[in-house]
Amino acid sequence: MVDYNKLKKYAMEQYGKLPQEGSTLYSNNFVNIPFELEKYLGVEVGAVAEKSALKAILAGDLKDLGIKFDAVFGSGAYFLNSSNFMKIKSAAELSDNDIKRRMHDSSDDKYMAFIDAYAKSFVFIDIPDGKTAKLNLLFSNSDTPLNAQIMISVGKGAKLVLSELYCSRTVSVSSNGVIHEVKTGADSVVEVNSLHNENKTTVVLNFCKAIIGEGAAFDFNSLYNGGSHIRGRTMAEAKGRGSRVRVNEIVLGSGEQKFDMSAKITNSEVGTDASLTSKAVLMDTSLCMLKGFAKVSKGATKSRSYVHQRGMALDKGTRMYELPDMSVDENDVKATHSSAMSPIDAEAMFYLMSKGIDGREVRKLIVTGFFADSLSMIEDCAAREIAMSLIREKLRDKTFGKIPKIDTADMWIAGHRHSGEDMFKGHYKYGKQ
Amino acid sequence: MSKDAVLEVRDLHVFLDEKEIIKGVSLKVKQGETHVIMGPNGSGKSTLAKSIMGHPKIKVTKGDILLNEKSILGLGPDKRAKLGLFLEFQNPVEIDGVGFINFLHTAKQSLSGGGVSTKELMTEIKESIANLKLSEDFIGRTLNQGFSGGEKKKTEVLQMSVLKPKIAILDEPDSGLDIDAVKVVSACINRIAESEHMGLLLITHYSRILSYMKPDVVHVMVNGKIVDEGGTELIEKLEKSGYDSYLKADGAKK
Repeated sequence: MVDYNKLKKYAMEQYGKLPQEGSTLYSNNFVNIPFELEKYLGVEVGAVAEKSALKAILAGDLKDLGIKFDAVFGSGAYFLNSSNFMKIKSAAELSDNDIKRRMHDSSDDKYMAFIDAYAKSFVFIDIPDGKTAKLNLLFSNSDTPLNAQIMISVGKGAKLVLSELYCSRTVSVSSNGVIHEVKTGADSVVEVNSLHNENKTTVVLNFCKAIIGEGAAFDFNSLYNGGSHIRGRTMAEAKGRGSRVRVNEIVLGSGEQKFDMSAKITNSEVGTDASLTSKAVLMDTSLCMLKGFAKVSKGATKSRSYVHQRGMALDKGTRMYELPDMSVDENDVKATHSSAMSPIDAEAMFYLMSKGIDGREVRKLIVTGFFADSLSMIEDCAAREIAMSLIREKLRDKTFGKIPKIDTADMWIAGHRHSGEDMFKGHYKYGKQ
Repeated sequence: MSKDAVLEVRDLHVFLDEKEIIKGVSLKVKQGETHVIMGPNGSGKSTLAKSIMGHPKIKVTKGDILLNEKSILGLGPDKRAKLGLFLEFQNPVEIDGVGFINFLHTAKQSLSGGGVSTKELMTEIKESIANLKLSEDFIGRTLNQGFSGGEKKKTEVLQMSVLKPKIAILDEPDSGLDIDAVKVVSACINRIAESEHMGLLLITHYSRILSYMKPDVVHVMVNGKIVDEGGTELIEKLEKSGYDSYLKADGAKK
């Protein structure tokens, strides 16, 4: 019998003792979260009040989105609208098997330990062999931190599209934290879209650990638009022969937002494909760290791996750090990493303005153009529309934290598909192959 | 009927990167007229075009640029465009991810104050694409990315046909075009200018494009100054003797 209370105690110990950045590679480059999040757990509202608040959101702003959410999570309550392939449990309801299937350990990261210690909702998404599912989840934190874990298991030949929207209902410091665990069977297809639009007083914690089976494909698309301090940690492994993982991070910062994104992609088998694309646009005095590490393991011949980081600064007060890294332990592979950052192109501004478009609209055009390739990786049309709307709304008046109004003025042109081949096109080593 | 627009450059002196490029240029272009500026490389023709459109790196140290007798020096490029000016770029900028059609739709909306029907715009674009002998693939492409030199020039003319300015500054619309394309582009420019009663300020090195157009005034620009003005006879003179005599005269003055 596995006792969750023991795990919780262990998690609390880990949270108390672990440093904010556990990796020696990045020990000098991380965003300090200046809040002791456990101190804010005490102000929890009752489950009844929380449920009623969540229902009010569903009936209000969410109704205008025209999207059905299969489950809605608050800080102290949740409810399920559709139970197809999905179960939600509280910590007390967890079985031995539920605990045993965990792929992460509280010692992996300080804030994973925090979520482990105080998680209220455990979501189990199990897609049987050959089945297809599309699920939408909403997370809305109140004044107390929201902690949830999502365990995904996708069977052989099955397909899952999971889209998540994160927002806030708080005026004081809080957090919105989710750990994703993804395990796939052979030839399955999984897309997870994690759209973060928390408010200015919310710490965002987004974790993902994925192990992808033979011939399977996994896409993890994250938009980081809201929050005060934003921490993303992704580990995706192309473990089965011929499998593919694609991690896609989109960051749009304003005000004093601080983003700390770290992703590790691994090619573990022959003929695997792993990519990390991170794009950030910063305004005002926002800060962003993009840390990308690609590992090609011994034996992963005929594999492809790339880390691609791009940044654009719209204002002089922004700070951006791009840290691409790679460890290649096999010879017969294609592997490359690149990073670049620049202010907004003054010649492009002049060109567009000379055609009659005002400065603000030009910035919107250039930024949405900059993100177009990344947005096109989001196959789920509704998630893509929300992502685009969030970006447009923030570019318009720097607002974030609420349910967006759909604004897809540019969506009809964003039809081009992203191709990983482009990364090697013209490369000094691989361009001619 | 609204009054014809008049663009006037009055004793303009311009610095770019702390170097004086334009040294006292004056000219006046009325709506419906075609003016040509010819001159050797480095004479300041493109800088003049960018000055008129309000490039942020260009510093006007003396003189003025007026549209309908009002100075536009204090206005940004977008405001100048809204008053009816248009610049066809010699080297159009490639902009990542911005759809060509989306850009054109945004520009048209901005210039007309909104209410642009996408359907009508697409019809207009398709017509221009056919006139310019461009491929319909352009509809799905991003702004100037992967365009050949000739395609870039043609799409600038396409923009002009859709945005319908009062006065268009065309900065070497013929460079990078083959013989047939020069003919196609000049025919399009003529057609648009005539149908929209547009004023043109055409900048070019070569006289070939002028054999398809009928300029009212030809200006010769050397070393940041207009050194000669006249009718089409000046083109013939330049064909025969080139810019040497002007360059020598300018050198002698120094």
